[in-house]
Amino acid sequence: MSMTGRKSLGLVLLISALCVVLTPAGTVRAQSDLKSTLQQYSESEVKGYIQPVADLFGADMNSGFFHTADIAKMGFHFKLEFVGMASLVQDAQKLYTANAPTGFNPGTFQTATIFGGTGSTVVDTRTGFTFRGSDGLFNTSYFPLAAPQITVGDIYGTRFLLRLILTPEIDKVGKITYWGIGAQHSISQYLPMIPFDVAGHIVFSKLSLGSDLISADGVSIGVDASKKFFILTVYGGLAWEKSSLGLKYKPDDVSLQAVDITLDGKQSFRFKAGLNLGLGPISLFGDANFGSITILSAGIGFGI
Amino acid sequence: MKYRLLAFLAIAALPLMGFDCINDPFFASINVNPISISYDLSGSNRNFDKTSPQITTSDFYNEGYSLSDVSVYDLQISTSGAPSLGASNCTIWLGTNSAGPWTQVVTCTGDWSVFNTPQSIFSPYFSQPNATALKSLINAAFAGNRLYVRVSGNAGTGGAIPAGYAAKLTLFIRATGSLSN
Repeated sequence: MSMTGRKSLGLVLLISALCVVLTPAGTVRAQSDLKSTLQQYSESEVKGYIQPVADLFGADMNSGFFHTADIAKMGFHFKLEFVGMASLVQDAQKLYTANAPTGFNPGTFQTATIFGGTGSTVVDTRTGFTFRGSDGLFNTSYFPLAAPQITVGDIYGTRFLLRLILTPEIDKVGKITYWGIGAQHSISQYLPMIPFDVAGHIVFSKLSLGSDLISADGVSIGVDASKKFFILTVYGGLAWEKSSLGLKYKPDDVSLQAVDITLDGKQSFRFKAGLNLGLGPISLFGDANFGSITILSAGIGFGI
Repeated sequence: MKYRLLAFLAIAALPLMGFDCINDPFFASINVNPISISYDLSGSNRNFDKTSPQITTSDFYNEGYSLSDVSVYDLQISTSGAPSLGASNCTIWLGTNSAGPWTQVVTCTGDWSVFNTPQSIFSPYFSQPNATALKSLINAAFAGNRLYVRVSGNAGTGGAIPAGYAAKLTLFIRATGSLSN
């Protein structure tokens, strides 16, 4: 069956978001594995296992928005960009302290998160009973996300940003909706003595996947600065951000309550530095973002 | 068409960046639904010996999984019926055939009323369980999709146990499983 372009882009996001192997069958398998794995966990158990996704995906969602602070007071600007973001998985995010069943001694044990390796087994010292944690699902050193976005302006020194991916229902995966909306406003227009461009930004993002299994929200508020040298723009910025990941599912174990939780991403502040190469209507850009999580972002833009 | 090309390029780029990316093989820890068996003791002699109906183990977990390692991580007994029947004891056996052989798993001792609140195998009312034999038996039961649980023991002294008295045994089981293709 022929796949539409919009559907293909949706799959790129899905593949990125869920760290999936590179075939449609693999995509379905990962989603299926993820859902089935999550359904083995109670609400208290799943938090530690999935928390790194909340941290890394949230950091990705709040990346790659703007690559210059040079905004005209009034002028025409339109760019279509394809941006890839990848947050680096730290060793500390591969293990978590899980609770052993009530009565076990020891009462906790270290086992794999969703990014870890083989799950560990805890043995109760009195009974000899065992309890094993799940294996990690994703074997990767970074967690990527990719998205198309449009920036349009400039009106009263303001530039608007829109990220949007909508897919129809995909078999065994469900519908994917991802959007981001924001604006960047020139500050340097009020301060003409500053030798570089400065702008403030605010962006809201939201993703939902697979019949409410996973949802994510993000917000970024920051200050961007840039300086253009011929075709090269050096840019950087500081931002405060917040993200959260929601999970909703019914555990396979009927004695457990339905899970409906929201996990906050751990990144709340970042510093970024990057380069933007302008080649007429095409621009290439990349930046590194440093906070409690390190994120690399790069992409290509078309437009003026 | 351009979108499809870009999508293809993006997908193709991911492995070049070291994106592996699902662990294979991948084993999830499966919470098997608790297996509860109720034994109606009313009318029984104070010395009882009851065997459960056949338990079809596949009814208790997601059939999409192939299980490779099954283990009991808790066992609880509760009683219903008051007033207390007095000092009681039990022996719990598991088997894969109603006619035996049986594997003795654990014994319990305590006043009937103590077990009106479910007591875990981690409580002082249970002996040291035979964890190795239990693990072997429960794996055989899940492999054969058939389990029997037998409870024998004594509930105080006196005549026949009055109506309304019962014992309930619950097995809490965890398994390692992979999704069947």
